[in-house]
Amino acid sequence: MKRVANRRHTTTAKANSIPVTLADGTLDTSFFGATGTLGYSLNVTSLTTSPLDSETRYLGSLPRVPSTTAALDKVYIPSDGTIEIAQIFCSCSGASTNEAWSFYVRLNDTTDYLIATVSNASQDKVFTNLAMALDVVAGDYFQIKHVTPAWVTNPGGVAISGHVYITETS
Amino acid sequence: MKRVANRRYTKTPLPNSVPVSGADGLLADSFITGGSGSSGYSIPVMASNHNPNDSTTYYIGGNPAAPSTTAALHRIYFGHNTGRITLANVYTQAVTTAGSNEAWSAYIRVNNTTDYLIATLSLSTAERLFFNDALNISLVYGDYFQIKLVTPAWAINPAGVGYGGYVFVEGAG
Repeated sequence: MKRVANRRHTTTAKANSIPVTLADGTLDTSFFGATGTLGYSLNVTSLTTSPLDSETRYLGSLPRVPSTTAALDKVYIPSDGTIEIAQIFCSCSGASTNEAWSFYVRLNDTTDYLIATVSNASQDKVFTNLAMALDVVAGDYFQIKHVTPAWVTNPGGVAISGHVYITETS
Repeated sequence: MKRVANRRYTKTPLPNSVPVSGADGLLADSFITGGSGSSGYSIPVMASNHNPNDSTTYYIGGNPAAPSTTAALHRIYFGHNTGRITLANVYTQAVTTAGSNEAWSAYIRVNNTTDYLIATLSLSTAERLFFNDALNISLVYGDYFQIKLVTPAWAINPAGVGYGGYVFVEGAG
């Protein structure tokens, strides 16, 4: 992967370029990561499962039922950067009651960072955090960890997918 | 991923804003690697658990299915006019048996024709990470690729092996 900041400005604007600058010719750097890079996403997924009460499970990028064993399905990060966003979508064929269900980014099987806690009785549950600000280095790995509540009615047929969005710093 | 084309510019400049445009007010071409306005993106690859046999060639793609011995089954099509695969990261995890350490190779196979080695690993660990960040595989619209895995004659075969990972595409335009 190449850093935007390291690129040389030797070409003319493409025909399909678009005006992106402010009146003073500067760009809002929220476009990029801390060092002026655009980011990329890494996907996570799981096979359909029926989660039990009050348990912790982990998933990564492998199409498996989420495991109760940590550090099995890892997603390795290829370069230094910052996890800026995490977004997880749970599609439940059977809706649950609305007890609090939490999803985390677990880094290097050591530290958990909350994505969101959702309490709804919908079949669709979206866990989103746009302000993760989680610094990572090449070789780190993460998993998605979720902690289920003691549901009155458990969700059934839950498929989990999502992504984290990372901006590079080197 | 935040795309250049989708953002609106209503804020005042931030203190750390940087000049990026030419006299025409357009984003300098050098700030992007392709017409999509992105520095690159990842394409996930995956396969569900299986028990790999000796001296067998398997193929996986983006489908949550077990690896197939049939080529060109699980294809991932490239959706831009041009671009390059620059990095591959294929993580395998054996939940039942780790397997012995004979050499196991993973490739990117383009159009069911040409193989590009990702890595060859000789490990007896449950986890194996086939990683290569020095790839430069040009693709054009309509190309497709798969991950090809060539197993050795193991003394102890791994079992319960699942696959997950990604390839990284740059210069998509």
